[in-house]
Amino acid sequence: MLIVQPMERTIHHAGSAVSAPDFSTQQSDEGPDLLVVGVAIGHSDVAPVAADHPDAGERPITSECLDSWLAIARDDTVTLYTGKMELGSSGRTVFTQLVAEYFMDEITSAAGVDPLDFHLTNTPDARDRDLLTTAVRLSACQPIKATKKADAKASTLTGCGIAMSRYGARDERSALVIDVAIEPRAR
Amino acid sequence: MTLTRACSAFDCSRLRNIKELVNQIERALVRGLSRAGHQQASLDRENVTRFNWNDARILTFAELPPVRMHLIPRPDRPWGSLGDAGTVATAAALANAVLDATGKHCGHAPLDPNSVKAII
Repeated sequence: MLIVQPMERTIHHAGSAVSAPDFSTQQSDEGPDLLVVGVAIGHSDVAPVAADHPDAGERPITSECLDSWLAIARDDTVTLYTGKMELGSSGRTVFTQLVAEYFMDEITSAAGVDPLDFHLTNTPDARDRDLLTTAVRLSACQPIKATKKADAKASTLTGCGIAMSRYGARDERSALVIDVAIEPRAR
Repeated sequence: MTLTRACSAFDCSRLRNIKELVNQIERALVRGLSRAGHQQASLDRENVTRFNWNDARILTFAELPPVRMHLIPRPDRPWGSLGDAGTVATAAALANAVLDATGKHCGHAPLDPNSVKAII
């Protein structure tokens, strides 16, 4: 499960050091409970440079560039802490959710697994499972077991997609199923 | 591409004004579908470089799919709100529906008719 956690305070720079969220955690006999990776999001100083570019090799990623942290917990929960704030449910939230949920359906499509089954199997939270099953029951969409082949000769292609979100300080949640009909020959 | 149905389930915390809540959820759905299917902005690595509200089309009533909604009350939880939660998952659900219908990946947003036609 991917959780996006906007940090509610500005990241402070102290010299070359950047204060990360508090990742102090209990350490079990098996080792640390978290693997934390610092990354830079949307920072022009670390824009990719071609290997043959004159600047290649001269733009190291310093700690000042780091503005986000990826915390991978022992229970396979992955939390992205980002200092990039936004107003309301703007692009970053929606696109992050789009990528997370879309990848999930690409995986299930390739594996021939029903997306709902995959969600339910990998969603430990009872509230989330309740939401997902309720939305699918409302839609009465059929289980999806195999990747469809786009048939350009078909008059109409139909499909349904499912996605779930958690959002807001009060942990609001919603699940949504959308059905579409596509006419390949429509102008 | 036609949106034929949208089914939403919401975890609502405590319920007070159901009529207003339903209105809010429907507004969020319109906003999310409009963004996912029609609105486009250009960005560089740091800023928005082109966005024109005149081009930010909002779905009309005729384009809206029938909506079915189910509210799950959680009286044991604190008071909350739902406006934005209804928007966030919309683009992902639409992209997954297109993937299911066509069997092809559309790595482009918005998912407008031209983008969908290009992958078929």
